[in-house]
Amino acid sequence: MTKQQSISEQLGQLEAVVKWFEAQKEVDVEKGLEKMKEGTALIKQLKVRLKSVENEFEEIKKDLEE
Amino acid sequence: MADLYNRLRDLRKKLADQEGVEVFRVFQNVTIDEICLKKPQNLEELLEIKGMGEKKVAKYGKAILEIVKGELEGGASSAQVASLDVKGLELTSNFNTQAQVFSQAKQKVTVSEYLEYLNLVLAKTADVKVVGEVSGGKMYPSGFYFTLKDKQNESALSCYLPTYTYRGLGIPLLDGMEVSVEGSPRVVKRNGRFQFTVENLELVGEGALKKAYDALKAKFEAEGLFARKRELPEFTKSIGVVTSRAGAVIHDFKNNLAKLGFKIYLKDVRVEGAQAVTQIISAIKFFNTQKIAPDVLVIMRGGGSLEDLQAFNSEEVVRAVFASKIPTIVAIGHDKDVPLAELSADIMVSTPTAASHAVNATWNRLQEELPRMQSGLVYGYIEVIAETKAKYVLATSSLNNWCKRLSQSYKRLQEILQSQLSRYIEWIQEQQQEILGQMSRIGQMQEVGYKHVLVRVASATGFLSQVNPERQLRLGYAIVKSGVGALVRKLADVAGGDELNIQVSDGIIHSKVK
Repeated sequence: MTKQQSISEQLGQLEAVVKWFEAQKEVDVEKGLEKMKEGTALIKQLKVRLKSVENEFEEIKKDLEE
Repeated sequence: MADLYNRLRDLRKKLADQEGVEVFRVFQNVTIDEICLKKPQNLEELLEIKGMGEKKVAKYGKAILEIVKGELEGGASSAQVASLDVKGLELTSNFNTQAQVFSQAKQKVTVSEYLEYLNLVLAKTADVKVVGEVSGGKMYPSGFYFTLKDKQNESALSCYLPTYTYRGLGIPLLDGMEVSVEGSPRVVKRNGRFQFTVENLELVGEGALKKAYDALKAKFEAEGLFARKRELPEFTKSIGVVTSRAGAVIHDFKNNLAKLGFKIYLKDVRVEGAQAVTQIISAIKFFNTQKIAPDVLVIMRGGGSLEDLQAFNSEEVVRAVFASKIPTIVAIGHDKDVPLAELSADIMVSTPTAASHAVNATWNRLQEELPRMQSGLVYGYIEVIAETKAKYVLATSSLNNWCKRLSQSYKRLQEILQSQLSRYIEWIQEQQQEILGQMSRIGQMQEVGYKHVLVRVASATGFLSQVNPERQLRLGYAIVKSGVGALVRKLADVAGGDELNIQVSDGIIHSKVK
């Protein structure tokens, strides 16, 4: 991704995919497959965000005004 | 020495202007006094001067030493002052000895020189904390003036608190408050009055602190500083932490953060004592002025008494927390009275662990909703598949029915065709029989005709054999042809000399007419 999507954006997209399935009356299996693929990719990306990643710690040494 | 003193003051003013800070933040009067007294000639000596730490020596040392060097090389303009300086240098260890030396000198000095000397001597007494009650306090543009009264008797100390220091306290000083002060005593030259310039002031005793706390709390409540509560940014990634690097607080905070790749930036500050207020405020401002500011600012301190937590009840700190553009979590351990800085924060908790949990909670939506959405997606797709299957079954069933009907139609058609074909074959056979009958009749007719032809042929053959020329030749007749092949039927057909070819039964006789 040229610009990494925020988690909120990705969650929003996933929500839209789920709602698409909920809203379908006339089922289009090809479109459904396409949406399933899109949703799966989003879930995969979001799970990566939740994966255990060590926190980074840095002490700022810059002098503060005294 | 007065020149040196003034030059050092000028230098301090210049540096303070450059840095945009109060002059005593550069170095304090007591430091100037001691430099004048000891005249340090190198950085090591300068480091021994009170108030000159390593940072300040590194920052200002060279400029100070140059002024001192200039003073030493140029010499004092007054012999008396030089003499006084020498005495001053001798008065380094013991106040009584200093006084004695001075009194024994019997020299004539100006009032100004005497007061300068006196202030040098007084400066040696500054390393104490004086405890008393505030009395007769008045605020002027230059600072807060008050009398510090001894609780045991009527002893009084005239005190001056510079405006900046007063503001740094964060609380209003009220008469009757018990405080301890640190600073420098001096006689003011212009009026000869003794004055204690307060450089650090702390409230003493829970009663005074509680009084100040209640007053400030009421003030902030009226201003609405405790009413505004912003939510922390969802999916917080970077955290600015303002606390002491020492102690368990920062470790508790780090240990209780979920492992979500947080970036934690710690600014180490004093969380109690004289420097706490300014350092905490500076740290809050520091994080708020970064180009890429952290998502959340966490200000923490371990538990303590009201006195220990004084910095977090300071008006300046409370306002700095409230002014932070970055949403704040303030976690201060406390018993009864919630620190005012905590009340002004967006999220108020009392332990670093709770602060960690508040940050972790910004990820709840993802942690809770991702499985739900995953299920929704899977069930949604299953439903699509199921509905598609149902449609397929329906369509297949229709197709089967249609095929059955088609098959039945075909069968009926086949039966019809079969029936029609039988009749057709029958008709064909009838036609065939008819044709065969016709053919038989034709054959019979042909046979009769043929016999008739044969008779006629035999008759014709008999006739032809009778008239065959070859038979006539064999009977002795000849055929005479001219040389050009024309039949010679009469004499007129030939002339004398013509060649004649006479054909007989077994050949041709060539002859000539005579």
